[in-house]
Parts: sequence; structure tokens; C-alpha cells
Amino acid sequence: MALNWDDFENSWSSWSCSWDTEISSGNTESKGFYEAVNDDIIDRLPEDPFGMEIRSTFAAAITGWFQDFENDLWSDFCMFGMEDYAEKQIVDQQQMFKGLNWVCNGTMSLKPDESISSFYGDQSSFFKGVNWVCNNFEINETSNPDFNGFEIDNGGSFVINDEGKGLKDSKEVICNDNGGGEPSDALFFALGYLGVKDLLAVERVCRSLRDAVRSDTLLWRNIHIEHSLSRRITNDALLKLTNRAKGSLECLSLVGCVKITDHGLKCVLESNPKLTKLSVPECTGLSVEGILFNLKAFKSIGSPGIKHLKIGGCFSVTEEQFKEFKFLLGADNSIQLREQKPQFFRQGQLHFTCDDDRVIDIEICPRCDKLKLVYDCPSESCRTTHHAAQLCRACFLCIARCFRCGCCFKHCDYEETFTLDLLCFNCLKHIFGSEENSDVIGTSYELYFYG
Amino acid sequence: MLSSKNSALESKDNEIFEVEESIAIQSELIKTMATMVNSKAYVNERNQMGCWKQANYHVEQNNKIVDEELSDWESKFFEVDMDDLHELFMAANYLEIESLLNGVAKRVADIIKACMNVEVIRQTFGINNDFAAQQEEEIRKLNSWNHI
Repeated sequence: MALNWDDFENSWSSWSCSWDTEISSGNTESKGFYEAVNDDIIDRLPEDPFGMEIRSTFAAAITGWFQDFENDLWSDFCMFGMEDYAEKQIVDQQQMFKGLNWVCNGTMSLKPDESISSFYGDQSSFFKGVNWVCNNFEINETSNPDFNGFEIDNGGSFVINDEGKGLKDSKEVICNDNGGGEPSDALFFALGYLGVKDLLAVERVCRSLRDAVRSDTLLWRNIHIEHSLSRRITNDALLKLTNRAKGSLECLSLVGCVKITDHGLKCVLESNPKLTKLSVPECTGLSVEGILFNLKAFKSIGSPGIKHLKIGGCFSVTEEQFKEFKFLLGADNSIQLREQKPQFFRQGQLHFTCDDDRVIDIEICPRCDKLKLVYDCPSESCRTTHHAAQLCRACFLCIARCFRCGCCFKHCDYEETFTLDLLCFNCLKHIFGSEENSDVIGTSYELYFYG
Repeated sequence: MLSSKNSALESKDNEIFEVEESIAIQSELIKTMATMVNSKAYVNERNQMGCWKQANYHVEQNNKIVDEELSDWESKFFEVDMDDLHELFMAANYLEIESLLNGVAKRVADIIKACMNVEVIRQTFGINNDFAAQQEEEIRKLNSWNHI
């Protein structure tokens, strides 16, 4: 027989072949005709593209595998029964088989020996990357209660397909890649220190990492979306990400996620009853009414509700709405004033801190009486007494602050940057190092970029 | 530090380390063993000697350095190549030294963050791509919003 390798293309996902067979090591002969499982796949394929009438020993070995019913898998399985020269032939052609899906449409009955607890595929590189799909696979487990499945050591996957369903519906049984190139355990430990963006990248590295990233709910308990992800993330994507926590999501921070709408947030809340901290600054797709409504609905379904909310400076909140927020969040005025941590204007935006216990980030500015983000002053002189600290509390419009450290300019000079931010001289010196001449700083405009 | 009892720890390479007991018990494994054996514990370490030495050194320094300097010292300590990092991890894992384990994990996380894309991660850590084409396509579609 001649297998017409030359015409073979790796992009074939399934193929039909017919052959007459002889099993070299067995006593029986069999003939079989095997077709791909799905009719629609069959329709798309030309008939017998390779002019294959397979008669080689290799083919016989393969057919031994594809035979159905009574054959004992162990003795007829091609990889075990191959002779050396056949194996060499196969190895030479191994690249042909990359990406192939082997589809078996028959019933195979596996009766493992009592001493064998798993079916173990050959280690040769021949079957690397091949996906095995077998329909109606029966495992006769009675003879060996310890039988725990198939293991094909080839980097492909072995799939049991019930009732002739399509490949994508198949369940993956076991797939095991024993070769080098497995991620070290250190990587799995490191996952806990990665942000969402890096986790999504790591997920694409290899299978074991993908499974680790998806299955570990602890990784998804606190989700912080910022920077490049925040402009792109959609309602749907957010819901999928939050669902990875499987209901254990506690802390969600969306900074500048402009595509998220009230409806999207509602879906997230519905699936995550344990959520207690929500931060949505600069999410212009949301509205104050929408947030209020969602919070109310969230509480009414019986969950403890959101206890900590950050809405940032881009929403204009009326006094009525503010009162409602405080009521929903369970804020008690006296406690809030006593215990909350100072809020600094740092890097011009709110940084995500999951451990911040502040109930709500906005409050009435002591100077202009408007509902704004009110900042404390980190400079030494303003922290000497409680009174001094209280005097230096106001919104950004009432008290100008250094973009980098957040201090006021009562006791130091400042410089306005090209982007109209203000930097105190300490921070300027810090950015440009000690080489910079103070005269130069004082007289020129410099371009500062902040990431 | 107050002088305390020294434990003698023998690594697989038959090298004996005299370690202050308060440091040695940073390792959960040794702590457990020390309760069983008197003052000498056999560490059947399967890693290289250098690794245990490093682990020991890290723990010692940890106890001596104040917090602010610690992060600087630690970041230098973990700036080693991948093989050494791996060895360090194995030692920390085996000896169950939490601070060392966290340090290695953070360093690995920083390395991952510095990688530009998935392929670089694979190359850095020597990981094979064992996805089938359709699986990769599936993931790509799932994260299509990410444009990565």
C-alpha cells in the first residue's frame, strides 16, 4: 500500500480512510472502513484524497487500534505492536500528524488487566500533538476498580466523545505531557502576586498554567482593573472575569473602565453576593442613579451589601444621593470621622487599596461645602496637631496640592508642569536628582510624563 | 542577638552547617524535626549545598535587617539567574521557609510582569506550548477584548 504523504496537509482536522488489514502480531484479520464522525465534516472533505488503500504494517497497527468490539486493547494497540522499521517510518513522517484529530467511530471496549491501572501511551514523539477522539468508548471497569483513566503521553489529548457529538463537545479525559518544558512550581506560587493583566497573559502560556489560573478562585477574589485593560474591558468580559471567583469575589476595582455600564455592573453584582468593596472612579459609563439603584437591588437580595464604595471625582452627587449612599453603606458619621485613614492626593488619582476601610470616598468639603474628594495633607507641618490636620483638609480646587506627594504649598514652593499639574520642589528634586540646578528648575518649563 | 543553641544541619552533600537555632527554626521542616531529635537534625536535602547556604543566609539577614532596608536587600538577593532561582525555590519549598518562599514568588512575579508577551514568558521559563491550535484559538477569542 502506499500512503500518499506528499498530498497531506497539516490543516486537515479529520480524514477518512479505508483499508484492508492484516494484523502482524495477532491471529485475526479484519477489514474495516472508518469514516469521520460528523457528517458535516464528511461533506466538506473530498473523497479519499490520498488514494489511500492502506496496507502497510503501520496501517495494520493503526487499524488494530481502530478495530471495534472484542479486541483486547493492549495487544492490538498500534503503539505497542509496532515493529522497528515501521516505527522508524512513522518517526520520519511524524510532522505529518501534527494537529491531527484521530476520530474513531466505533465502540471500543477496554478491559484492562487487574495489574494495570492506567492505559499508558507510548512515549515516542510520533503522536505528539495528536488529539484522539473516540466515540462510544466503554470502559469495562469491573475487572479493575482502580482503573482511573487514560494517559496518553504525547502532549495531545485523548477525548471521549459520546454519541457522535462534535469534537468541541467532547470531554477531555486525561492528557499528560511528561517531557521537559513544564512550568516550575515556583510559577504557580507566583500567580498570587500577579495582576489581572499578567494572569491573562500567563493563562496563555501552557495548559497547566491555564488550568491553574482558571481554577484557583483565590486569585480572583480581589479584582483590580486598571491601565490598559480598563479602557478595553466590556461588560461581558468583566462578568466572565468575576465569575472566575465562583461567587467569592470580595473586592472589585474598576479604574477608568469606560465601557462598563450600569447594566453590566448589575450582572456582576447579581452573581457575586459576597462583594463588599466596590471602586468605580472615572467609569464614565456608569451613572450615580445607576449605582444607587444597583446598590439598593444588591442589598435587597439578601446579601450584606457593599460596605465600601469609591466613586471618585467625576460623578456629581447631590446631597440627597449622598445621604442615600451613606444609608445603604451603613455609614455611621461619628465612626467614620474617627477611624478613617487619611486620603492623600497622590499621583493625581486614587490608587486602589483593598485594605482601605473608608466607607465612601467623597464627603463635603470643609471649605466650599460641595461634595468632593477631600484630601488630607501628608506634609509634616500639617500633621503636628489634629487641629492643623483638620485645617488642611479640602478638595483639590480649594487647596492646591503637589501631584506627586499630595502636600500643600503653605510651606514650600512649587512649579507648574507642562500638563498644568503642580509639583513641589522636593518632588522636582527627587525626579531630576541632585545634579539639577535649582536656578534652572525655577525658570524653565519642563515636560513631565507620568505613567 | 542573644546567643542560643546552635543546630548542626547536614546537607545531602555531607556538609555540616552550624546554624543558630532561632534561625534554623524559621524552616518549618527543621522546627518539626528539632522537636523530635535533640540538637542535631539530618536534612536530607535534595538540592545543592549552595542552595541551603543561600536559604540560610536569607533567613539570617531577614532577622537582622530592619524593614526599610529589607526590600532593597531582598531585591538584590533575588537577582539571580533562573536556575539559581529555581534551586532557591526548591530549597524554600522543601524546608518550608515562608519568607524565602514569598521572596522567590515575588521575584518570579516581577519577571513575569517584565515579559512583554506570552512567547517571552515561555522562553524565559523554558515552557513548551502544549496547546492545540483550537485551544489557543478558543482562548484568543475569549480574551479578544484584550487585543493581546
